[in-house]
Amino acid sequence: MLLSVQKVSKRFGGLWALREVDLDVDEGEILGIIGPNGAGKTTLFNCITGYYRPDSGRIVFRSIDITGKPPYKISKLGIARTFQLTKAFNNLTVYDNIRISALAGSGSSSDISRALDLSGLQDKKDFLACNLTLIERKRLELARALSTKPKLLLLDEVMAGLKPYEADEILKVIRDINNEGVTVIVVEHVIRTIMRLCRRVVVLDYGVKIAEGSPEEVVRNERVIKAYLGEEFVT
Amino acid sequence: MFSTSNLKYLIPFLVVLYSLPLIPQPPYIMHVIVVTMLWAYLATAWSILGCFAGQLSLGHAAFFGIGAYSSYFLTTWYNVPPILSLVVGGSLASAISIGIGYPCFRYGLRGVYFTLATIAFAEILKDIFIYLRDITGGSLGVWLPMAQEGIVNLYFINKEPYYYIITTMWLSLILILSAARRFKDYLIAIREDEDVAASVGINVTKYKLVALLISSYFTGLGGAFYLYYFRYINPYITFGLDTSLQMVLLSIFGGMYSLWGPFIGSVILTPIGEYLRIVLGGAYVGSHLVIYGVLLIIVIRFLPKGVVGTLKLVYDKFVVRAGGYAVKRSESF
Repeated sequence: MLLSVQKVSKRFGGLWALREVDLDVDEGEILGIIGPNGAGKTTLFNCITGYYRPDSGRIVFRSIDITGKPPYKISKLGIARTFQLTKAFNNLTVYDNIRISALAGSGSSSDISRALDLSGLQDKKDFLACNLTLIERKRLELARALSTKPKLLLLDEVMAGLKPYEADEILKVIRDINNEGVTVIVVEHVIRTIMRLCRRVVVLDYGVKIAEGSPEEVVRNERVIKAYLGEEFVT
Repeated sequence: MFSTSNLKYLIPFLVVLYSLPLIPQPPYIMHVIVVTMLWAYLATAWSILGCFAGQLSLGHAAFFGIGAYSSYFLTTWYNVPPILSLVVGGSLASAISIGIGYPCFRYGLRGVYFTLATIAFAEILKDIFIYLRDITGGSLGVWLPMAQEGIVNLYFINKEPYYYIITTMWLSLILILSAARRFKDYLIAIREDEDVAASVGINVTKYKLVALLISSYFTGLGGAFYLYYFRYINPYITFGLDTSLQMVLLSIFGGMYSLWGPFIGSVILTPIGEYLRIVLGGAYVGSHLVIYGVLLIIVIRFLPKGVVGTLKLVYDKFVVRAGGYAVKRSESF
């Protein structure tokens, strides 16, 4: 097992963003995490990558306890992430973005060009990051995460806001990354994209894990339908 | 460290820089040149934290003052040779910077809150130095006694040796910074986005702190140089907000994202400031500051990237002719 999240809880004031969430990720798989807005998906990512410290519970990565470790240490251990609202070193070129990430991570110069190739940004590498379009920024997120040579990649809604054919391009990139042996966790609230990508899906709602299984099982699950569509759609 | 094409320009530039005092000039002009280099040096030291790491400090006068006062005490009380107390002054400034830097960076004081903390830090030190009159001379300040002329005492009758010293200090700073590629990359990453920097494995707290340590060390060194050059200091000059602001203004004016920006800023602004002071300062008190201010507003309004940044843009546009809406810009050199 690559990553194991054990009974992790996180509260903001009186609100449980995460409530005793258990999650296991095997090496080499693409795991999907879905749930309606505010279900705690991004909070879970922030807990895994050290941006939030969980109130209770344990997170273990390759049998190292990483609970509450700072983000840079977690990154060094081999977990890379993307940000839901795309972020970048805006006044630097795409190439410099990737170069610095590879330098800070454990990437070498071959990882820079590999990341550029995989994300399809090779011919945009001299552009300033602030001049990129949304899909290019999403690609840059992927490339940056990839350039640190991660073992586990956490993708936070990399397909949100994209046109269907653009989302398909990103799907292909994610599959390519996975084929190179990187384990991927995808957060998405559009079920359709997850269905096509993952063999295993975890569903969160109000910070609680309400279902787990193959995409086909999950979309038939009563609690999932209730969470997404409301009581009246449960047959 | 430098590519050959850079060296081609750098070497003639350095020859000109170092042979400047060979042209006979009246002492006052030489004084203006020394002050220009001092401000170029201080603004460059500030830019390590302020421009590269993107932490807008308005309290660098604190380190400047600590450098100046600690050198004074070391020289007059303990008879430490000035050349040595210069270095100790810088180190002390660096050590004290941890006092403000660690709490700020460790507990995530970002943006304007960090700026406010730095202003408060310098102002508190200023008040302490004014209040402890018996030790520090209070608001009247302190004078350095006469000394034997020479490099050990950092005391010269002529201004030229001071010029060589401060120019060398500035040059070493530039050389160190241009050699520290990886360090600079990390600072720029932190400036651009702290969360992203952390997500790719950069220890944000550590690098901000190191940037502050280096920046304050060189600022403290500059403060000590100020003491040995002017041989008089008081808390208002050394710890005042004006001093902090000057470093910031010159860097912004010259160009935030370039090693040469602060130098260019100082070379343009310091002589203008001095000139306006002489021409107008006597007739209409304060009017030189008005003109100086208007000049700054114009530049910041129309050249937000500073002089160097704008030149770079123009160069990219007309010389490189890369076409399209974005071109590759190399940082600094």
